[in-house]
Amino acid sequence: MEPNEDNFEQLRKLLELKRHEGPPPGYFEDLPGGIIARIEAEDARGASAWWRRFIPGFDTSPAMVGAYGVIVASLVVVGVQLAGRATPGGEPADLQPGNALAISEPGTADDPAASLQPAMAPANLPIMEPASLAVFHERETNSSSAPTGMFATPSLNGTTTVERAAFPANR
Amino acid sequence: MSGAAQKETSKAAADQSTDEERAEERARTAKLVERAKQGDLGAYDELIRTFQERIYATLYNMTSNHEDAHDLTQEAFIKAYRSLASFKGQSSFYTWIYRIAVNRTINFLKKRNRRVNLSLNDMDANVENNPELVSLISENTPRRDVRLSELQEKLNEAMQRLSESHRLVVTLHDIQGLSHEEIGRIVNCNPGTVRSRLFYARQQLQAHLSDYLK
Repeated sequence: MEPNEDNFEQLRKLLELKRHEGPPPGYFEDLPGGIIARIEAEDARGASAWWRRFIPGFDTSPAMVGAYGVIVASLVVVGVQLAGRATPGGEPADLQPGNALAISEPGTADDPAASLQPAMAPANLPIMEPASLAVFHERETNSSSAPTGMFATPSLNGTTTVERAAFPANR
Repeated sequence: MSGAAQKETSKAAADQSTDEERAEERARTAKLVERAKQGDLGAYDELIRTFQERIYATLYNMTSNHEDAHDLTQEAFIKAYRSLASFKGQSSFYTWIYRIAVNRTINFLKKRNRRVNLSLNDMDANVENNPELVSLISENTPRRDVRLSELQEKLNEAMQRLSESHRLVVTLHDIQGLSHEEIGRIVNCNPGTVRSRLFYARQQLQAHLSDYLK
């Protein structure tokens, strides 16, 4: 007999009452069939997907949950590090502006604007600036008046000479 | 042979036959589990029939609600079937499936609304033939006219006032008749913890049911 067991003798008798509570007659005859039918129905509609097989022991093994958690966390950390290398602050060497030719063809004569992107210019060539832009810059710096507007186009009056942008004939 | 010696002999014989029955039961269960692992649903059906009453009764006593116990029993057996590949036989199938059912039920109870909706099963006819219970109702309660159904309701209400872990040990020990060691294996704690939880739970129940006890 356990300590204090006598104190609870009446209570234990009362709890025995619960042994007499039971489901409706015939319940246990039908229950297995219902469970098997549900298993078959799940199988039929492909409910046993890959992730169900991946997490079979979660209810019985907390260690399994922990292991899966560590794996997922490691994958996230590696992913973040790889993403960090691709950002401007951490560009790999072959993505530096001077080496842009390695991965990107500069603009051709038909598409001169492409070659004006500083980041895309080859390292051994000077960065070219069209004369028209140079003139525009000069007007803007010498002018004491406020710009007409954020997106105002430079006026092309008689004092302004418009030159075509000069590009190297051969690169 | 004296009466006492005859009693001893018959008790020893009964114990031996019980051990043999248990060993046979374990061997039969192990075979059914192996067949079920191969996808034999007929074998799994037999396993369900072997354990369904004990699992259902535990979950019913934990929830005090037939519908919840029904759903949880179904889910536990389905979950166990899906997890059979991970069952290595380190514990008995009985302990393993109990653990699945109990874990799911505790998770369910934590999510369930605080307000419990009792849906109680009927008492079987045998209760009227249990002289101890009849005497308990007719003699030991201050209200001698207490009806069995009222007592059943009060008992279930008192059970629901316990925490899940305390209700579980009362259910498994005092209602299901499992040993402290078996309960410890199911709830993953040592028998000493089971004993202390049981003591506390009984104290709580005794306080809640004082009108129905001496």
